[in-house]
Amino acid sequence: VVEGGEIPYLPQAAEKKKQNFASRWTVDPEIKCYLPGVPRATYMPFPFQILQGSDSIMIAYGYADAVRTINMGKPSDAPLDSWMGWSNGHWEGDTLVVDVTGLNDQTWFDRAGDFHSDALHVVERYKLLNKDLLDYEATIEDPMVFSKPWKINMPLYRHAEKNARLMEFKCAEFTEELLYGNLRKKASQ
Amino acid sequence: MKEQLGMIERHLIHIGFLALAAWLAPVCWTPTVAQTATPAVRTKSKSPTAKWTPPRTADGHPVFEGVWNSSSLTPLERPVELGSKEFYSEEEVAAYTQKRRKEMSRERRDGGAEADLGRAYNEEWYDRGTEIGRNRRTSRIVDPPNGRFPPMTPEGQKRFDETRAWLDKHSTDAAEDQPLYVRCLAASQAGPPMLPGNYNNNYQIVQTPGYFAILSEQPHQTRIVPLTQHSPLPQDVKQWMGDSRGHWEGDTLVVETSNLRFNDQSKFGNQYDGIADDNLRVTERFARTAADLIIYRATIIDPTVYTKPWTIELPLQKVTEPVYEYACHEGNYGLAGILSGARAEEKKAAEQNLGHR
Repeated sequence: VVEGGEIPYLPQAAEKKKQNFASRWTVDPEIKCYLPGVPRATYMPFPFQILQGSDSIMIAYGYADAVRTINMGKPSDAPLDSWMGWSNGHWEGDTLVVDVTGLNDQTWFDRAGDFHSDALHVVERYKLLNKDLLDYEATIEDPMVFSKPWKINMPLYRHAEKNARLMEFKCAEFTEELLYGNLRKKASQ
Repeated sequence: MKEQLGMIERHLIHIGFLALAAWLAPVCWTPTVAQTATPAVRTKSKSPTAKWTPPRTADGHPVFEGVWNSSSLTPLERPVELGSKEFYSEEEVAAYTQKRRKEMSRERRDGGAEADLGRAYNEEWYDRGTEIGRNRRTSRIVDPPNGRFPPMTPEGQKRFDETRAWLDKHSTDAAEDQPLYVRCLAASQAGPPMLPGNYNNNYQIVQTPGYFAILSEQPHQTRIVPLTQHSPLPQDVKQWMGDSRGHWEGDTLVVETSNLRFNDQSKFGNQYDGIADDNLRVTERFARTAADLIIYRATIIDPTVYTKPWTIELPLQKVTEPVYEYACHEGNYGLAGILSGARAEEKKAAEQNLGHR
């Protein structure tokens, strides 16, 4: 999905990516059920629902109750960094363009350790190709980690089954043993 | 148990930090034009007694979109001495508000230096509201008419007692033994019914022709209520927030919820720990009665636990700032703190035991 086939890491960052990959089974934020950030939330193996309101568009993700509200009014600045960032949207013709800033440096792009800094800036473009097919493109810019901006592009398919719905997925309870298992009371001897 | 409460307070310190961020966050926000996208705003008589007419969506329903807050000093249950008195008079409100602020505040100087400091520090993180609800009600429970929970059934009482006894002994054994809100899995704010807590009582509502979505700041959880024909979940599929469906009765949105998951840790409302059951049903009613006010009602029907249904009413006050992300699980140092505190105490007790031998 990466245009050009390769992520343009700066040399030091490429090293960090390798380390991340080696320790991915313990340090990938997803394994701890942490919020996934943008754009990772879009292409995780979980559905999401777009709720198109009159002055904002909410995207609720099946993974870990992640949610973001895209401000469609006058753009505003991120008050401070967060996991899902700060989204300002506007229309370019029929394409929804979302500018995302205020992302913290705790999330990854995938399970392979691809990462970013808190200087990350993502511009997403959502375009309906037909009623059940979205073209999704994200331009990723982070001068601390990448030598130049890069793009991902992928189709997103609508869940066309009748009564498709987001089901509750409380991820956090599945990672409690990993995060807190060492603090479990020992069976009395 | 007392010690454990102390630890929960410390836990609140940590997650409270994020709550503070939520207060500080909105400085750069410019209130957007919440209603401009709504065509056909009907205006009737301008007389001050006229009923306020809500802006309407393209399909003719009142607009509920925006950010709302349910904080208030109004207690869940009415003080017994008030009997069937439902409302305070305007004169009584001021005096009662003062009294209630004092009651609720932990910033007192009556516990000795350590306790006083701990409480005052914790107070900093609370955001439970500084006024009583705009409806001037004496309690959030409006039915039964005495403003208090109806009596429990013998089965409900039994479950309640057993749950308490178990929690006293085992709540710090492991993460899964802690209440759901400490584990960031559920919160009274998210509901249903949506009951305010000590902080993070903000909601963002987004309305589309087919859905009514309620994002609860605590612990960031979105309930997506379908408004059109939607087949219910099979009876044996449960969710912490249940399965909600909505329909309009005039200008009031009515949301019916069933399939609520329960177990001995379900946290459902401030005073209703872990005893609900399959029979539980919640009916909520959202009525926008002023530009900056939604009157929210919820009736809880739980024949296993309570001898009668009970109903709460809350004013939801419009907020012009956005809901900021509350990353509950990501910042949950408190849970680790509670468990490691318990392990440290066990270790200390074991060492003392050895010393006595």
